[in-house]
Amino acid sequence: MPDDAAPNGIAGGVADVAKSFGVGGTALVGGLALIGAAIWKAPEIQDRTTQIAVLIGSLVAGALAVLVGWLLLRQATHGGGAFAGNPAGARASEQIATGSTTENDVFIAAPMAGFGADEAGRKAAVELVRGVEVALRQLEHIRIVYTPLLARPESLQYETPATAFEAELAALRGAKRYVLILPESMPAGTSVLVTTGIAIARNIPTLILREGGRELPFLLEGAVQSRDVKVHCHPYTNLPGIQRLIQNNGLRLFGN
Amino acid sequence: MLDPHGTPASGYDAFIAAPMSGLPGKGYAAGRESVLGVVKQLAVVYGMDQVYFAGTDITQPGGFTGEEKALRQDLEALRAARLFVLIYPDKIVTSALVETGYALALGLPCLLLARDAADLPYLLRQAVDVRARDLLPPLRIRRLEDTAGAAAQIAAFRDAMRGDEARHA
Repeated sequence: MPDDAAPNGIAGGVADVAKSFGVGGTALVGGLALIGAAIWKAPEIQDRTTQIAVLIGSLVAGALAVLVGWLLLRQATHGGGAFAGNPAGARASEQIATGSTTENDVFIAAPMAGFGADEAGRKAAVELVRGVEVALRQLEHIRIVYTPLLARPESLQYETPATAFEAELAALRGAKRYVLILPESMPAGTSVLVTTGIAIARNIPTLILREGGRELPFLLEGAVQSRDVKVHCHPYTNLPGIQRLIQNNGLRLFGN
Repeated sequence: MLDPHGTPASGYDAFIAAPMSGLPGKGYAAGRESVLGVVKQLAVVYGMDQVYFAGTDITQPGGFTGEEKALRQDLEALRAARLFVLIYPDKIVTSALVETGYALALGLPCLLLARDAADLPYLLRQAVDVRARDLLPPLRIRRLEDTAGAAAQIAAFRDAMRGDEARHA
């Protein structure tokens, strides 16, 4: 869950786009130059056969370079957005525009607040979520896993909190299961408590994985104890422990 | 008139969520008194007699027992409320944020009162700007001021929602 802007992340995103523009632009310009040179210089070649071979070869190579460059530029402008690298997230993004809903087998939430410039902390969280995602994907009936964290593993790439909220609301609306990962220290004012409230209200089977002996907020503890809502909780000590838990219990962890 | 669970037959004018069990001893007392002051103002000045606030009957932090019962009461009250109000004086891990998510999912009009919008959880900070309006109920973010100011904001929000209802009727 995003809770703070990450300036170095934005800089990284800009660098990625610039990189894409650099390679794509070079290929495009190089291709056009090759075509131009072929048309300009080919008439100077004396031997007719060589002239035709050079002209055709240069035109084909130039056209290919232009095509590759155009594709790279197109990717830089359209493919590097908030959900790059996360198919479920990409679907959420598309479906917000149409007002429809993403079908996600699992929605994974984890606090992101307080990482700020602490890239090591962010990467550790990403690794944990990624590990949980991989373990869940091994289960039958789990194909699409949405998690805001993996939608932008390097840093926060949403344009605004509003667009982030739209994406998560759309993803939650179609979620069949919800997983909340609570590390030892939970940042104040984390958004995951809000999305968890939404999941409970929507009666989405919810699994809370809490590190060590950390206490749950009062009402979440009530939700775990209650039979009125579908909330289950398991403590964990490390990622291998979570993976074993998922492997051994499967969808029963959600009360299925 | 109250039903067996204590919910008024006519429902609640508003559900107020505020940090409670997460607050330390003196902070709890001060926070509770502040919200009770808002509840009193709403009743006396604005005629909002039926306002649910879970801290009304819990005088000290040690009074928080029976999480399951508390959850049931809160969820029933939320379902019976016409408005949801979050009073969020500081960044804190609190069940009030879980209640906020629940209220949003129920489609309750939500008023979020914070000293600074930047104190709110990231996803809520610009919730009023969410373009896909079918995903959220009517929602406003206002600056949390003193007791009288907070009560006035809540009453104004109620009036605005009534106005919207009348226009759509």
